[in-house]
Amino acid sequence: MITAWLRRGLLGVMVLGSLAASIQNLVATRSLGSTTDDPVADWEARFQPVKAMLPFQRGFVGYISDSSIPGVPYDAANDEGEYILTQYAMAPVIIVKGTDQEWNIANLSGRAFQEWNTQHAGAFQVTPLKGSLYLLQRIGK
Amino acid sequence: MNLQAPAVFILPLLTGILLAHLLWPDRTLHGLLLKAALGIGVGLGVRSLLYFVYLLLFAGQNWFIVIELAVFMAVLVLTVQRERRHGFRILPVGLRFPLAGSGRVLIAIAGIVFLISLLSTVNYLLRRRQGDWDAWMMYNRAARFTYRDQAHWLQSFSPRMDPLFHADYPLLLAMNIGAGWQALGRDSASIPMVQSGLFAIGCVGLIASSVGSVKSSGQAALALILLWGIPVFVNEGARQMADVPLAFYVLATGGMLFIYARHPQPGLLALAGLTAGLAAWTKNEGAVLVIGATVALFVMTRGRFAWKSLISYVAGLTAPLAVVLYFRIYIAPPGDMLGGGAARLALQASDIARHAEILKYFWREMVSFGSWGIGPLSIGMIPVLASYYAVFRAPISAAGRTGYAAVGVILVLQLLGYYGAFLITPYDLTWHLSYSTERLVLQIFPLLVFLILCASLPVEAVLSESPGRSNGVHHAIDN
Repeated sequence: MITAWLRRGLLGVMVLGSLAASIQNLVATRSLGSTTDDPVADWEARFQPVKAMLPFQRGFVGYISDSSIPGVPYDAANDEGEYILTQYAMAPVIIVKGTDQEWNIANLSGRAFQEWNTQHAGAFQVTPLKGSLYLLQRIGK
Repeated sequence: MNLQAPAVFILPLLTGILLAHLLWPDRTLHGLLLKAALGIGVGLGVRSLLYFVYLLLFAGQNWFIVIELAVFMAVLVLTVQRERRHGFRILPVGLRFPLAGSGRVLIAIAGIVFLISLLSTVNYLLRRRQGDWDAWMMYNRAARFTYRDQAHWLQSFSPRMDPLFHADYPLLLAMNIGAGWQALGRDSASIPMVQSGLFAIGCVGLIASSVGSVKSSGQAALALILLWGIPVFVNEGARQMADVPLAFYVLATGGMLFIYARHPQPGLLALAGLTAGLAAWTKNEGAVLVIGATVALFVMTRGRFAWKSLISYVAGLTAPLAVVLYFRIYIAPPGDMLGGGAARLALQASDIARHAEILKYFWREMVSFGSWGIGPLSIGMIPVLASYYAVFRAPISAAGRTGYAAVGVILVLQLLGYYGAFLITPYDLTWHLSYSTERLVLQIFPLLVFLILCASLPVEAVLSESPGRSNGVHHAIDN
């Protein structure tokens, strides 16, 4: 008799627990943000001018961000996330860290750009774009 | 999202369902429902393989839809020809446990859970249109690389790409997305969204229909409630990553082998081989499933391979495995797991502290995975399932043992594969474990639910027994 009640009780807990969890999860998905927001698409739109200015559709492009500039503070998780999103947005161009390529993207805050510019002025033709982006074309070693 | 994106998936889904029916011409209602769910993964997987071969041969051209139509027509003609011989019959359901009031309540609750979690999935997809982290990094990124500038798609796999983006990863999702974009005529976030939703629904449909096929309708309802009542599975199914698709193929392979142990029809092994191969085309962990399924088949036949069985299994496995091997050998850049040579691997494998840390994380995940997150009910689903099995356990007949053994072998080897991967990972072990153990358990969880529910008394039998007297109902159940 105990087993029969135990079975019914456990079954009840499992079914009701799952039902309650599914309702709770449905409510929780609302906290993911608005259905009209798409931060990834916004990020992509930010890089459209860069893509348009590159002389090729597929190739290698360098990439630097605040973490590439010594002494400039940065958030490591954000920095990596932005790097990944940049690669996603720039596809099928392959992003390579550093500025060894002829064409390079600098995703730099104002202070980081100033630091970088003082060290590399003259080596690149710099095209400032909206949203703290710079397209760098190497003009000399 | 308009209706164009879902429409792009109709052809591969129909092809997959018909192909599953061609290989396994079971005509019971439960069997047909199972094939409807199985056909989702089979169809998407086959389209991915076809698109990969198409790109190899005809990159830069735009007539893949012709191939899709031709394959669909061929499968349709073969199916119609065969069904005509059988008079298009559907066998009666043959319920062993006619639905009583409590069984109907359970099915109604399953319907409610299904609708709520479907809404959660849609909500998640609409709020994360481009998916989550791994989707940008690997699957949707790879799709973009191959679709945009398709003529030079092979350059997408340059060894100069940062290993972080895993250009060596298998391409099932990416190829499917690319095929969808080609049919749509543009790259749209709606294609990976629909694909993600389809694999989630397919996985839920597959567990309900396979448990229903083996056990009972009430047990099928319970399977659905348990799998789609846990938030982690629902959310993961909407993140556009490869773990739920892999879980689908793990469940499909284990389920086909389990059913084969009871009804030895060669087509079931062909489907098991196909789904195991598609798992290897989905994620690296899927390669472990190919080994696991092969060993499981060996265990089922007790080492005496019947040639007909073996040929069916190999026939199903050949196409996806050939594509995976071709990709690995001729296209993909080297992976990062084996980098650093044998010395690093030996050093890490002999480090006791690594073993201890891996075991600690595994245990923690086994205890906490799939928690409902509701106050005192915030316990993991695996302890819940273990408790369920302890009080619902049914005797297993000698004839049914091989099926359980096969599924057990798959689960154990899959876990061992994960363990080995952590042992040799070049990444920081703690980071790697915390980043991926939940998703690894998720990959095998549906098959574990299937195993437990098949090895237990059907809920109809339990709900119909009187708590006031003992009964021997479980002795009458063929398990």
